[in-house]
Amino acid sequence: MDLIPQAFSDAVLLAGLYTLMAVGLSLGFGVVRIINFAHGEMIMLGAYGAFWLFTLFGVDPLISLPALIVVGYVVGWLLFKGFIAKVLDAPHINQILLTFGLGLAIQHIAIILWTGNARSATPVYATSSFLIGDVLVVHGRLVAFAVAVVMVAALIAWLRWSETGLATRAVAENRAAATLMGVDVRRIYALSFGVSCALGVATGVVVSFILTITPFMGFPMLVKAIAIVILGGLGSIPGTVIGALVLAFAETFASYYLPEGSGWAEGIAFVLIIGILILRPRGILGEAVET
Amino acid sequence: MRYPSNLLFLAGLAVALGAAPASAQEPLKIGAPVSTSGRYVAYGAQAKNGIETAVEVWKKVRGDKVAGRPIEVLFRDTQSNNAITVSLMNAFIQTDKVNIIIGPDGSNVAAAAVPPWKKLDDRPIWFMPGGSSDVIEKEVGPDPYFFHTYAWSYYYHENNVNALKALGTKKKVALLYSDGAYGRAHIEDARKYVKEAGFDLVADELVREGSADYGPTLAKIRVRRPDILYVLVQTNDAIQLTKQIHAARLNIPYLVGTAQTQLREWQEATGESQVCWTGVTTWVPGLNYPADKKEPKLFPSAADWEKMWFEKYKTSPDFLEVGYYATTILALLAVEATQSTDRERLKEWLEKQDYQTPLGDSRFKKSRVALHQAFGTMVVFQRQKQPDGSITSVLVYPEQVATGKLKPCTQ
Repeated sequence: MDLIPQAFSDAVLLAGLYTLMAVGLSLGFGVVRIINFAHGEMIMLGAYGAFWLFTLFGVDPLISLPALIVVGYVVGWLLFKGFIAKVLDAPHINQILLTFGLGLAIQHIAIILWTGNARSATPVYATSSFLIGDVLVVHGRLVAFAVAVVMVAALIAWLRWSETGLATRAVAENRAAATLMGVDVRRIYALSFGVSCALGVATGVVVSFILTITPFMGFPMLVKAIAIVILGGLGSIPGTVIGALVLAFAETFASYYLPEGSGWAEGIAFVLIIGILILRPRGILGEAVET
Repeated sequence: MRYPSNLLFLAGLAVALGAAPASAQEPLKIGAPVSTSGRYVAYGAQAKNGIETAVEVWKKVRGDKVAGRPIEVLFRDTQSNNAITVSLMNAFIQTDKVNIIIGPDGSNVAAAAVPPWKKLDDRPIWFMPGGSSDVIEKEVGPDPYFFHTYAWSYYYHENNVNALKALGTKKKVALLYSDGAYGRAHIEDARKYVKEAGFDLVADELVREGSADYGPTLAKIRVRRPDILYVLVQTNDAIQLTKQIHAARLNIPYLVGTAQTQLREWQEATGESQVCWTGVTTWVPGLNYPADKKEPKLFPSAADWEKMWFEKYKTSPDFLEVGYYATTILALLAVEATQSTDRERLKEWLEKQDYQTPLGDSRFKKSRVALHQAFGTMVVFQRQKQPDGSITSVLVYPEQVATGKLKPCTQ
């Protein structure tokens, strides 16, 4: 049996999930210029939100997705106003420590509220699948991929055609010029950070029925998201998509075609990332950043 | 011969003090390293429940003291962290001067606890009702003061394979294990017993701990068409792996797990995907062990104990809860019987005792390396769907306790 079509399908679906995981982080950095180390915890909160709505009220994660996105936006906006805004002009190390600390605090609150027990939502499509020829497609993965495509398309459309989206791009490109053009930079920062967190929460909703939910699930996802964002080019949405594709294809094909490949997959993917960054330090589609 | 009266008084006082129970006013200190946060939190919560319930039952049956001493349990959180566990063990022995140690739970932290305990000449008696990794057994060695009160990892595979032998030995087996401590600790013995039983090992696949996608590994296993998929991963990975195996339509008749399938969190998180999986455990609700004849109130029948637990916690006990309960009661009985916390006397008593507990026979025997091993009797069960739609554990091995037959999956 030829495994290449199956490997290709698996890699594309995984890339969708990775894109969704990283795109919010990329937006946040592109506009606010702060790497949000609490992004993994946003994913975790989204997963718990979807899980509890599913378990307690029988609400399907896809039904709860829009509401949780709004909640994620509000939480992000409040985090920006309450914490991030205070370190905008502080040294990078302060910004890193703040977001890292926020992440740890959220993680520990989650442990207190929900214990460290492993959980997972179980809608029917999470474990059903169909065959296209010899290629098996899991509904849950396909749903995640579809959500990722819709979310990224909506994000790109918003950035390209809406007034606030254009203002956001202006701030991302040149903060001083945007200010001179009358853009309220602080408002755009809060908006972008809110959208970034909303995307993190959306990722959590999607993984709630694919992966195991624990208060600690965010950090490994954050590491992967950071790798994708750096690989694609910090702050570049198309670059993030390409970074996710590179990582997903490298991991999947290593898993299929190397002995004990699943064990080596992540290591090989990160070696590949290091190689690309040596050749092109600013990432695949990244631009030089003025420091 | 005449002796000065004050010398006689001092001699009398010394004799009186020596005859009294050791340190009559000092509490019996039990050091309990439990993982109440971090990745082993589910185990830690069970451990704490088990010890607390044992002390409560003891006080109800025998009063507030043991050997004339109040009972003090020092619960300390390992945070599921090896370095913290090392510090806790040092503090228990050197600062708190505990008389007995019970715990810790997960195999990783349990292994980390060995060196700080082992290095001290005056180490107290140590009960371990948690860790199963045989790495721990090798590290501890034939130590006279170590009492393992749970099954070693190789017991899992011996029992699993014995249960599978009933299917005939011409079966093809695929092994799937994680690259973490759990998978690495189990894989050698799983291979050994599978091969010794005459099964045909058609796949031996490693997966990354915490991986988001097991699809590639499952696709490779599918083409080998095994009859039995034998999985060695811990709970977090097991949940998403179980769901992915269900979605992958592998059409493998027998899905074999180890410890994870008995955990409530695995059962709740996997939904319908859990049907057909087998697990191996020292305890499962419905065991029919009788009450102990000497201590029926401390060690009631398994059914009565389960009932008592359900009334208290409104849920069935998990395997560590009953293990920590039986171990703690055993420790208290040892102190009471010997009226001492002297480790030599405790050791001698423990080596001779014989109770029928809710977890089975309490006698200690030698295992591969360790001198004292109890509660290692394991049963194999299968998660089977019942006519009313519920999914329950049906005992399939050994025959004496079996409540049903091992059934192939019909995915």
